[in-house]
Amino acid sequence: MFGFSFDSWADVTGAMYIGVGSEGVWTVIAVIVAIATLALGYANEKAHYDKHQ
Amino acid sequence: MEEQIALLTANIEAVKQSAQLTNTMFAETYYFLSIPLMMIIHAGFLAYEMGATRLKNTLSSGIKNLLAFAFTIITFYFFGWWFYWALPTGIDGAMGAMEISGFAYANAIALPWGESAQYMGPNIADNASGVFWGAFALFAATTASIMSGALIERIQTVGFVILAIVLGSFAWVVAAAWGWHADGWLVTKFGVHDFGAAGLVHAVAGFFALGVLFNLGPRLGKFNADGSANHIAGHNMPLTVVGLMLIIVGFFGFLMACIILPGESWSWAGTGTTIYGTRMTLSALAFGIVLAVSGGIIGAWVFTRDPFWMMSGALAGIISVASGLDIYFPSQIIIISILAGIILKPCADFLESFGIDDAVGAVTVHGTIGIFGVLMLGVMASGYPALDAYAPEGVATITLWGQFVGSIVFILLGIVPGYIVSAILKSLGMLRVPDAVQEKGLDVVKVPAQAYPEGMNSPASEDV
Repeated sequence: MFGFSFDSWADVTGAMYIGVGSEGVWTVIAVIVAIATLALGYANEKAHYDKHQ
Repeated sequence: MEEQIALLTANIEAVKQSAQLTNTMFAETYYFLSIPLMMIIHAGFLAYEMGATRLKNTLSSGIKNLLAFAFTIITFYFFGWWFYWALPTGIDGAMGAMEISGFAYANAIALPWGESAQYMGPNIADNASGVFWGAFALFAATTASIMSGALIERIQTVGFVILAIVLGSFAWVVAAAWGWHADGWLVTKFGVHDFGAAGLVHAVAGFFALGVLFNLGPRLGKFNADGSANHIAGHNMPLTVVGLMLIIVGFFGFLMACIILPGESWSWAGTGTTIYGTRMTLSALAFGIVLAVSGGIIGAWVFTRDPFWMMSGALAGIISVASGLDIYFPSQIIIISILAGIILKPCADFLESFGIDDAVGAVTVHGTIGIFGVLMLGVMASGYPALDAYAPEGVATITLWGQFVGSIVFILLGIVPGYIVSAILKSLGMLRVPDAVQEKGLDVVKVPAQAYPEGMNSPASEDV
């Protein structure tokens, strides 16, 4: 999940990001965060509409 | 002697490697710089739509633009890029003749997990995937933002964001896969040519907006009981006009990113080409874009004398020739873009006569003129090969019939999802802002900030 899969930058020949091998986990978390923010934003906005009706 | 030959060979190899590295870095930089240039389009949309909004809704219009951009970019990373590579040959996801399409290919390069994740993040051996993705992500955000202006002052933020995601990360992507990809079935079977995306970006977005407008309805006070329309003026015409000019500036980035550069493993030929592999140059764009902007301004000025419509005409000028910016002769561009500018306002008035409140003319500028541009190329370029020599035998040429088929597909890819998704949002109460809130103003209800704390006032025009 965290850290690099290599010990030296000299060994790097391809992917060079943190968490190689656990990209799917990070992507699932990112999707959940994105959906949650949209839902929270909707609830927040709806509360303001309701207050002024 | 042998030593000298070996040294010379080594030197030649070193020079070749150096030249290749320079070419690769140039290509990476070229597409990278197209991204901030396209960001200027969004600065333009922001200014344009906030200016076209009444004072009471200024900031909420801006919020809508910012979120359309942000959520489209994120969702394009999650799945939009995958659709582009997966669907060119059709919904069965088969691999095309060029072997750069289909489910298997998309799974290998465009998913942010598994083996393909190496192409969806930093990779020392890959100077292309990130900049290509970035340019396409900006195409996606631009498409989503085109819809935005038509819906101002009465659409809910989250409902709009969902529509932007559907348009920016799915609907136009399908159109691009089918008509803007060397394996796209509209290209290989019907010879569709849409270099600058008049149909697959502008028309799809314009007709998507139209589909939404059917369900969203007009702003309060737009139409009278007898069906006649009232003009609802935005609060800041100068901001709107400057915003439109910024959109024009950004379109240089959009169009430069439509060129495939030479000399790389992913290049089509030894020269610059279109996305279809047909040959072209940046010089073609230099001729075309500025002439089209000028033609559109002049054409719109003739009957409107209104800077808003003149700058909309500039945009319409570009869109009207975008399909063939790679092959039009400049004098043809002048004629077509002036014509587009002239028909722009009457087309917008015609749409309004049906009770459609397209607040900034987006359906007309992008939808109607986009289709006009796709069809004009069918008239002007019939017989040209749609793909270059590498293409399989029997590939279609550009024809008016092919451009017509493409136009119908682009219209449907816009209006059908736009109508269906907005109908669902409407049934869920997520589409239209309540009337009481519209009357009060969206900013005062939901934005904890004030557009002009010191107020603003200016005399009304007497030339109406």
